[in-house]
Amino acid sequence: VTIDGSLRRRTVRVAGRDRQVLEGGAGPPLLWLHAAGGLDPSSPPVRALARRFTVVAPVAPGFEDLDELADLDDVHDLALHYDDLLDALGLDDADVVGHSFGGMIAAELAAHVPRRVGRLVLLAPVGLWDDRFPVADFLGCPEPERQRLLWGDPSVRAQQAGAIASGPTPEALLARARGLTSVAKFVWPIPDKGLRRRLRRIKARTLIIFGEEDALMPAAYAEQFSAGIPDARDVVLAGAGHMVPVERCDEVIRLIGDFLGNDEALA
Amino acid sequence: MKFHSFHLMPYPDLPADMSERHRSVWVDLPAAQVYDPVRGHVVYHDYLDQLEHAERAGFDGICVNEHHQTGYGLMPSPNLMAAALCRRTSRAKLVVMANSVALYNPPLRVAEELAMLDVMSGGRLVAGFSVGTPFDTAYSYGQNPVTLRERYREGVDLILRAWEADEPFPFNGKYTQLRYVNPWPRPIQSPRPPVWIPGSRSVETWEWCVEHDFLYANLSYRGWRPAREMMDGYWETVERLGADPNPYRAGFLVFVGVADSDAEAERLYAEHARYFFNRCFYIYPGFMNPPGHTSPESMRKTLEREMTTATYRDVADLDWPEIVDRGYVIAGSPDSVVQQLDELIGELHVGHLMVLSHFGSMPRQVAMQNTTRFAEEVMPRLRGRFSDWEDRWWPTQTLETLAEPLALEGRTA
Repeated sequence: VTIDGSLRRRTVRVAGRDRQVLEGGAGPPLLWLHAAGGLDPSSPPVRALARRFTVVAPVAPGFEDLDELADLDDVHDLALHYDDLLDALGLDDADVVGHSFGGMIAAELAAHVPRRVGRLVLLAPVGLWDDRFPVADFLGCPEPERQRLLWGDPSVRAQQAGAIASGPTPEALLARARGLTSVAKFVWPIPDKGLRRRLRRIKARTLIIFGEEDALMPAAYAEQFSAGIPDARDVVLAGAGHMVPVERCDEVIRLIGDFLGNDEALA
Repeated sequence: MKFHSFHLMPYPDLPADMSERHRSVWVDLPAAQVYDPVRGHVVYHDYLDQLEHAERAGFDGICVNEHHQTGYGLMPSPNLMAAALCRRTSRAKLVVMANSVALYNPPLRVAEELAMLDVMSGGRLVAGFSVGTPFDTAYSYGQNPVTLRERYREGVDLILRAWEADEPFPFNGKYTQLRYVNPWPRPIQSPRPPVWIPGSRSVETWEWCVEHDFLYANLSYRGWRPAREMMDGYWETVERLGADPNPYRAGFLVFVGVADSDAEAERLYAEHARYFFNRCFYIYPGFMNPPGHTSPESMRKTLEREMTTATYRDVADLDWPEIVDRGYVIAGSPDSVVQQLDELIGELHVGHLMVLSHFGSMPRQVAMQNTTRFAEEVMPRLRGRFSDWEDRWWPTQTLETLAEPLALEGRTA
């Protein structure tokens, strides 16, 4: 099945269960780990990356079917699930890009099984907590407020909160409910499950990108990630929020392309 | 028919402009700013007096419950309140409605405390087990809403096994691991006290109650007519599983205000009902439905409501006529209250009625008068309902002679 003209749906077997993966594009493989909002194959960064890479985008466990969460109780299980998934995909290692919740998974995978991750890009990842910079309670607020937490530009915040009021179909809302439930299982009540003490294990060269106006995961965490990961640098983009890969798509794709050394394909 | 006096123990001084200054009565209403412990001292004793009075007035049971971080109710530990009630009551059963089992690690704590209560009270305990509201569990106690129900079920299994076992045993659960389960004391009621479950509309809960012979209680604060659908679902489950339609396997909660007339009922109770619905029930919508606490389908409905309602915070400023018309409070003359309850009892087929004769900011004297009038002028006229059924969800092993507190001489310094 071709989705959005570029990504195909593929089913792989992991630990005796079917798992969904969207795959497409051209170039070297790149693992894309989506955020709590779910995997949107038509989102600008995914489409842009698929022009330069073979994007391999697994649907996180639970997002399509909550039963997928049955044998995954914590972030350790989750990291090992992605290790298994790479086996099932026939990828010995891969460059990995993760956004928000997907960024946390990417960092946990790289910390748990360092050899699996070639280079690592973390886009506004969650997973750390510092009392000076409380992470917003994005699982304890009504949907319009959750939308407002995502965007850096105040006018976009209002526009998105308004747009969502008339947009989603019942199926989309159901998917959102499953997605939030799947995230909650691993991060409740505070999205800090010990990643800070595991960051040192990450072998991959790492690029961290935050939006300076991130209202969900404050940009102060950019340097905490880069300080904890042995070979890392961080970039903070002014004016952008938690949806930095969407808000600053061109810039983020350029940074990722430069970082992954794939400049020629960017022409 | 059995009647129980239920007390929510609300904080009586919630600010009138709460909705302007705070976002919720539950979870994050700042205790340091709103709660006065010196006032709280009197409030606790007032409320305990009212429950003790209910026993004297003739209620069968007195009920306490568990809530956390809230002005809605001041009983984070219902077991402490039941313990305080043990010494000055002797006949009424102590209905602890309920312990939020998933909040205790290990849940063996609940088995121990309830057994203590059963022994101290001479076998008068009704053991309630609840999942707990999302405000209490997910937000105040940080429990993962996705695994809460599973944790709760496992905890209840552990407690019942602990009470019923003949020998110490190991328990290797998903959430609790214990090498030696052997709680002291054991309850007087053998093999266990009756178990009551305050529940919602889930088929799984109904099946679980019927299969384990637990009483299912519906604590609806939105009147009995909307709850009709839930009770029907329960009774259909009872029938489907081949159990008898014994009305005593069901309980229901009602707000009651007895007066000489409708006009007097309004004068006595309107302010306090409004206080309950407009202040005690003032809850931030973001705390209503944490991911995973309900099925994705019911969460979808919540998201839809949040996104399609322009002002998603719908704090209805209810007025007395609405409160009465919707059946949120069953109020009026004794004749009127009897008539309304008679219909409710028949329609819902419930043998246990939990009565809130105190609600909101009601002063002590008004509450005690309401309790007395209900017991004297309403209860006797409904008492005979369901007399041909045996109540198998009620303590039957209460000691005939209870130890009495020693009458002390002298005075404290």
